[in-house]
Amino acid sequence: MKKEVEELIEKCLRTAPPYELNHGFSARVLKTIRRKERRNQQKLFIFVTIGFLCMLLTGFGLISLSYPTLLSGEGVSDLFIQFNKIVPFAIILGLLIAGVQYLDKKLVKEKYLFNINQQDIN
Amino acid sequence: MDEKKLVQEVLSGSDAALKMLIEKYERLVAHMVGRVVPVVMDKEEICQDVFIKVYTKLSEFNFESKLSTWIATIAYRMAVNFAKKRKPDSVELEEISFRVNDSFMSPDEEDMKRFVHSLVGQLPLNYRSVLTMFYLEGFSYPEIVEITGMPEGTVKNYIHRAKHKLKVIVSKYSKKEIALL
Repeated sequence: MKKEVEELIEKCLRTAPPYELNHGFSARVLKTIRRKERRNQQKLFIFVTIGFLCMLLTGFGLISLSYPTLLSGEGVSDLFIQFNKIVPFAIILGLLIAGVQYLDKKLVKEKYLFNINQQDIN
Repeated sequence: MDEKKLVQEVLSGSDAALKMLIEKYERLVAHMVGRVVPVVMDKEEICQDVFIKVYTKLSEFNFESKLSTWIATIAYRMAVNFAKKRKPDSVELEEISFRVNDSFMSPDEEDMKRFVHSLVGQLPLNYRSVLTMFYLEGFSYPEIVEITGMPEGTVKNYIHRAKHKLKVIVSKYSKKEIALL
């Protein structure tokens, strides 16, 4: 009797319980994955655009503040004389570039770029 | 198509390969999640999340284990995390009082299967997970160890104890019916 029960239980356990996923599950998942990818690519584009705009505006602002004559086209040779003003500007610009690089790597790591990267790798 | 080729095709961005991968493993994921998560709506959503995770992590899959084991690991962990967030499962096997449906009166094999499945559904999370992996999906002990992160002794113990508990309940409620089967 015990063996019979055991066999019966094992037979029941090997039978799939009624967990059915809705019809068209694979198509729906595929659609969701592609939609997410598109959204991530849009996010990436926005991030990069904002990053570059920030760099551009900060750079422009810094140049016009620390060396206004450069933008007005007067005397590029004065640039060497104004060396002490250019160094902080270069440091800030470098930091901004490093920031954008970091963001870019973070985005890649967090799979914002997963499809693009895979295609690039292959 | 073999696993390696399928993975490569998916990584190259093929929609057809991705669909094939989902169709191939949706039964496995549905069973893994279905045993852990009780609500039907949640099951579907978690299954979807599992495949999204599988897709995003696929480039990290290094073929050290079978693809099915790797996918089952993701499904198991996601389902367990979800279940723990919803309702922490701290009940011990001995503390469980099984609810037995009155409809289990006929000596029909289908009824028996339903009865056993309903009992399995009432087992603590770890027990029902390992039972599903071992019996339904046919995973070996080392594979279950890899999926769940439990020691092999614990896995064996869970299977043994869960089977024993089921045997006691089924014997109690179905003596006549089993004789007729």
